[in-house]
Parts: sequence; C-alpha cells; structure tokens
Amino acid sequence: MIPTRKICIIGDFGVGKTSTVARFVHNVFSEKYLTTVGVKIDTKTMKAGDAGGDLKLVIWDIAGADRFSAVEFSYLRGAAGYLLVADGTRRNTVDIARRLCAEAEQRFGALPFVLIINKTDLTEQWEVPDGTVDELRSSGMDVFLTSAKTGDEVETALQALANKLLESSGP
Amino acid sequence: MSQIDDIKDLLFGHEKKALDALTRRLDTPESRAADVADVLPQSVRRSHARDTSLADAMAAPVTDSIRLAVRKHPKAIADSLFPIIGPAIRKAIAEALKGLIQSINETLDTRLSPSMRFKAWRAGVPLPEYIVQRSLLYQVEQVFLIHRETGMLIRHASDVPAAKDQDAVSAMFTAIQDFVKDSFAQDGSGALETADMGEYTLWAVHGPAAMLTCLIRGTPPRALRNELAEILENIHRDYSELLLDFAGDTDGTEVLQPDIERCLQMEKVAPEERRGAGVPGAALWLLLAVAAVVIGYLAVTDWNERREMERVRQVLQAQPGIMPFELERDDGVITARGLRDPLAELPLADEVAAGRVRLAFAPFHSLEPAIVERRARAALSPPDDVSLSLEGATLVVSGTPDASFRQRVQTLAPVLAGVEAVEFRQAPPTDDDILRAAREAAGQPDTAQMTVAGGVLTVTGSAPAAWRDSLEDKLANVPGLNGIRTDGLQTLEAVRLRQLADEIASLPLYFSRDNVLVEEQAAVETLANRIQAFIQVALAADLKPAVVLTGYTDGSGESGLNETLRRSRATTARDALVAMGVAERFIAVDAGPPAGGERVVDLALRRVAASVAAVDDAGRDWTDRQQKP
Repeated sequence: MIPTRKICIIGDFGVGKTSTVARFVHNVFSEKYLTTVGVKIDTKTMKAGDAGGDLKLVIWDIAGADRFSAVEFSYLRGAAGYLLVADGTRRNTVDIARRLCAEAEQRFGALPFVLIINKTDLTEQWEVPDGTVDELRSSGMDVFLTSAKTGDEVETALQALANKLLESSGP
Repeated sequence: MSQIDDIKDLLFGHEKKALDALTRRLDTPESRAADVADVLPQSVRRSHARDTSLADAMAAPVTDSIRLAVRKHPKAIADSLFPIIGPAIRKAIAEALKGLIQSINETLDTRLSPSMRFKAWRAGVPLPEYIVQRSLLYQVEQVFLIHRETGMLIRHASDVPAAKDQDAVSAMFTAIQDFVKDSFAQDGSGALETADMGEYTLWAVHGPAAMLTCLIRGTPPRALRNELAEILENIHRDYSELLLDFAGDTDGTEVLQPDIERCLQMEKVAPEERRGAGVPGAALWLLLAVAAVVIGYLAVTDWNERREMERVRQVLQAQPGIMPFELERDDGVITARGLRDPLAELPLADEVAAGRVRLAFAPFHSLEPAIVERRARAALSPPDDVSLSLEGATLVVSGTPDASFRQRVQTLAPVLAGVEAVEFRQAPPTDDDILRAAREAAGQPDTAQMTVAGGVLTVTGSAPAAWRDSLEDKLANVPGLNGIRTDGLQTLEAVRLRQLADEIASLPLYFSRDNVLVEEQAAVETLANRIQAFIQVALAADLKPAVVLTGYTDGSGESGLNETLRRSRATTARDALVAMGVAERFIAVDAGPPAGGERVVDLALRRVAASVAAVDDAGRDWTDRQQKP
C-alpha cells in the first residue's frame, strides 16, 4: 500500500480553498459535505521526496474560517501538514492565514505547511504588496502565488508540501 | 567607607536583610519549590476555573507519565487498578450476557413462528437448520481499521469490490465521528457506534489507538459486536506500538491483515433467502397450502368414494342372476338396490359383513344361462353319470340316463324358466367302449390280439383268414370305430402252410446209383402225408396248391445221361407219392441242374427234393414269408 498523509486546507471563507485543489485531486465526495459536516475529503497520489516514491495525500477541506472555531480545529488533529490559503484580492485574508497558522501551531505544534495566495488571475484587484510576500518568505514560509482558475502554481505548491511532509517525517 | 556602610545600614539595613533573604530564597531551589508548592494547588484551581489551557498543557505529560509508570511499575499500577478492574469485568460480562440473551430471544421468537416452520418446509431443510440460517442473515462486507488520531486507514479488507477511495472513506468517517461527537456528546465522551442505512448497518468498535469499522449487510446479532471488540482488543494488545507510531506508512501493517479478514469470515447471508421472504408472503403461502390440502383431501375422498361405488357396481353386474338398478352412498355405507335370482350367489360378503355395503334386492327369475342351468340341476337332480347343460334355450342331457330320469326330464324341464326344449345326447364312445363292442361283434380268436387307440382297431397275432376277411363286415356297426388295421395279423392257414412246406423241404428221397429208390417205405409215406395235408389246407383256403419234385444227380456219369437220370428219379418219386394217395394233378416233375464240382460219387446228391406253393387269386404264394398274407 502507498504511504498516506493527512493534510488539511485551512483559510478564510471564500479564499478559494476548495477550488484550488478541486482540479488536482480525486473527488470522492460531493461539496455538500462541506456545508453539512463541515469537512470534505479528497485524495491525491503523487511522487514525492528524494526517492520519488508514491505518496497519497488525504486532503481534508475544512469549511471557511468564519465558522472556524475549536470544533473545526479538531479536524486538524493528526494532520501531517496543511495548506494555508489566502486571497490575494483581500488583504486581510493573509492576516487571517497568519492567525490560523499561529493557532494551529499552538494547538498541534509546528506542522509543515505552505501558504498559497490565490487568485493571481485577478491582477487588477490584487491587494497584497510584494513586500508582504517577501516578508513572509523571509520569515521562513513557503509562499506560492496561485490561480485556482488557471491552475497556475497549484501543483507546485502541493508538490512542495508533499516534499516537506516527507522531510519532516524522515529520519 | 565604613561610615557610608554604617549610614546605609542605618537607612536600609532592614530592607537589605529582607533583600538578602529574598535572594537566598530565590537562589535556593528547595525554598522555591516550597513556595511553589504553597501556591500550586490554588494556582491550578484558578487556572482550571478560567479555561482548559492548563488541562491541555498537562494532558501530554500526564499521559507520558502514566505510560512510563505502567512500564516501570506494572505491579503497582495493576494493584491500583484492581478495584476498578473487577467492576469493569463484571460490566463486560453483563454486556456479553445481554448479547447472548438477545440472540436466544431472537432465535426463540423465530422458532415459535408458524411461518418459519412453513418456510423451512418450503426450503426443504430441517427446521433447526433453517432457524440457524435465518438467525445469521448478515454478512460483513467491508472492514476498515482506522487510525484514531489521524483518521487514516491502517488496513482494509473487503468481500465486495470497494467503490470509493477507502482512504477518503476512512477520513470522512472519522470526520463524521468527530462531528457527531463534538455536536451531540455533552462531555465529549462516547462515540458513534452504529449507523443504519437501508439493508446496511455500519458498526464502529472503538479502541484507544484505532477504530474498527465494519459495513454489514443484513441484521447482525449483538454477539457479533463482542467478537469484533475482541478482535480489536487483540490488535491493540499485540500491535500497540505499531498503532501508536502509525503516521500513514502502511509498511509493516500487513501483520494486521489476518485479524481484519477474520471479521469478514463471520456468518454469511444467503441472498435469495433475504428477498421476498417476508411474513405476509409466508402467510399467503401457508393459506394456499392449507387450502390446497383441504381441497386435495376432499377431492381424494370424493374420488375414492366414487371409485368404491364403481367397484361395487362392477362386482354386482358381473354376478350372474343379479341386476343392480341403483347405488347410493350415505354416511359411508353403499346401498345397492335391484333384483336378484334366489339361485344367484351373494357377492361382497366381506363388505356386507363389515357394514360398508348393504344389499337390498327383490327376487326374480333370471334367464341367464348359468342360473337356468343351476335351476335345472336343482329341479331335476341328475344322477352322477348324467350332465345337464344349456345351449341357447335347449337343455342338453348328456350321458346314459335311465328311463325314469328321462321321464322326469321330459315332464319337468319344459316348465322350467329359460328352458324351451330338451335334447338327450350320448356321450361319444371311448376306446374301451369300441374294443368291447368289437370283441362282441367279431369274436376274438385266442391267437389274435386286439387294441383300440384313437378309435382305430389294431389286430395282431394270427387268426383264420376267413375271420380276418369277415372282420370289416362284422365291425361295420361298432360306434366310434374309425378304422381297422390288420398289418400285423397272420392267417392261421399261412402259418400252417409254411410249417408244412418247411417239413416237406426237409424230407428228400434218396436214390441208388441206378434209378432205384433206396428210401424205406415209411419215409415216402411221411412225405406223402405232409404233401397231402398241405394240399388240403391250401384247398380249404381257396388256394391253388402245387408240388414240384426235382431230381438231382452227383458229378459221376455222363451229363446227358445224368439229366435223364434226374428227370427219371423225379418221375419215380412222383409215382411213389401217387401210389401213397397224393393226387397227381398237383404234382409236377423237374430235372434239377447238374451237380457242379468234381465228377465223383456222392450218395447225398442222388436225390429228389419236393417243394410246395399255395397261390391265391392275387398270385401271392402264402408260403412266402415276405408276402405275409
């Protein structure tokens, strides 16, 4: 059997968490699970790590942060890492992402993650200054500017997260 | 310097002492520990009252501490747990018993159901076997062993092709578990254990590190949960490290597969039994079956009764002298009504004796031949050597009835019902009768034997020719005689003639060298007597007798002389015989052939031989044995 890792996608409401991964994963359940149960599971099998072996990501897509309370955070339990998503056209979502990251670290310790700032296709409405991105990167974060609409950089971000998962669990 | 110190001492001496004491306390771990100990309980209480952060912070170290303690001081822990292990075990046993009782109740419920009996009968299996089958109407189709913390699938086993991504299913199920628990459990304890979906039941059995989730088709018994729990406990006991360290790498988890697959080997459902086997269907079937049995019983009973009536009717109709008009059946008794001749035998004696058949017949005179014969015999009482039979309406009297019986027949028979005429008929004579009659008619000589076979008379032995020739006339009136055979019969005349002919041939007359008869007178006389007797017998039988005297010579002498001599000798012999009284007209003389061989003197050859014949009108010589006249 292929090794599996649980990851979560967290971020504010409407930043495009579901859309970001939708076209890159194996959709097992319909999106209505998000509104009913508050979580939706997808899987993605990819090559990862130095050895290039298969790795299966079990991706927990958690409903938006406006509902993100202690209840939803419990879904993060047992995750090997997470995908932090912000919306480039809403500057405050980056701050929310930071806060969520801090809370996750507080609750579950330092987990591997990558930050995605989504919606690069909407260049006119882009609000996040390059300085902010540089600042985030210099603080040690892996930041990817992606477009769920075009698929730009999404795969790269997932690949980076997968590699980090193996690094952190490696010997 | 000292003044300043003194001033300091005067001004801050007290504070300095306190500061030193404080510094000492802070520098000394023991005193700090004592200080913390003083405030710790209160601090913990306050922190716990404020929020759960302390509990969160303490959770991991406390868990590690307990784990360490269990490892290092198992006995102490065991001793400490002892008071709670007892109740825990009792509770577990109670749970198990509850499951067992539930299972027994289920079984008893089904056992008492009539529809179950009918279904078992319909399925063609013994009731207990069927109940066991029905009680086990479930099948564990899929088993997930899910890591409790991450929701990741550790192992999976399935009897059916799994449609969904099992990793996703495991994660989703864990999410739903958490969702249900977080949403509805007041204190966060407990867990989702059962979910029902149509014909499927989802059972989750929870362990500290892993959850065993089974998708079951049908209705599993309570006892199955205990078995699943046992399997999960064994997994925890044997592979606790594996479960605790699980982080998504399934390498090494293969050892769990046999335990997981054991869950699949639970009793299986028979799918065709599950469909359409509802109680209403069974009741309908039962009703139909009962109706069929009742209708079948009535039909069979009716058919049997009809068959019995028909049998009685046929028996009665076959019986001479009985005319059944109607048969009716009432309360199991067949009553037959009609007419019966008093001379007819009563049939169905057993049925009548048993009360199953009642015969109600009025008397009448039957004209059926069997009954008419019976009536004639009853009225006429024939003697043993006379038999009566009926041909059409004629009474035939066979045998040799005496005059009084003839009289009785002629008087009584015409008034008997069914008899219109009488005929006396002799019985055909037997061979003995024929033989007796033949002897009576022809007489039988002592020398002859007579037998009759198949009406043909065969006569053997010997008898006078006149008797034989008259036999046909004498026996012409012997009844039953079909023929006479006399092939084996010889006439007495022929016998006598052959006897005499043989004697005559054995009496030659010898001569001397010249033509002188050397025989004594007696020899000639004997020959003459025999010849005369022969002639008399032949004449008496209307035969023509003939005597031939043949003269012979020996080889000596001249041949021409010898022939003369042979004839001369025959003539001499004839003369001698005539002289003795033999009629000359019957005698012929002949010269025999010359003697063959050497020309020597042989007295035995100098002779005359006599031969005789008796010929009838047909030219047969009666002395010839071949002709057997």
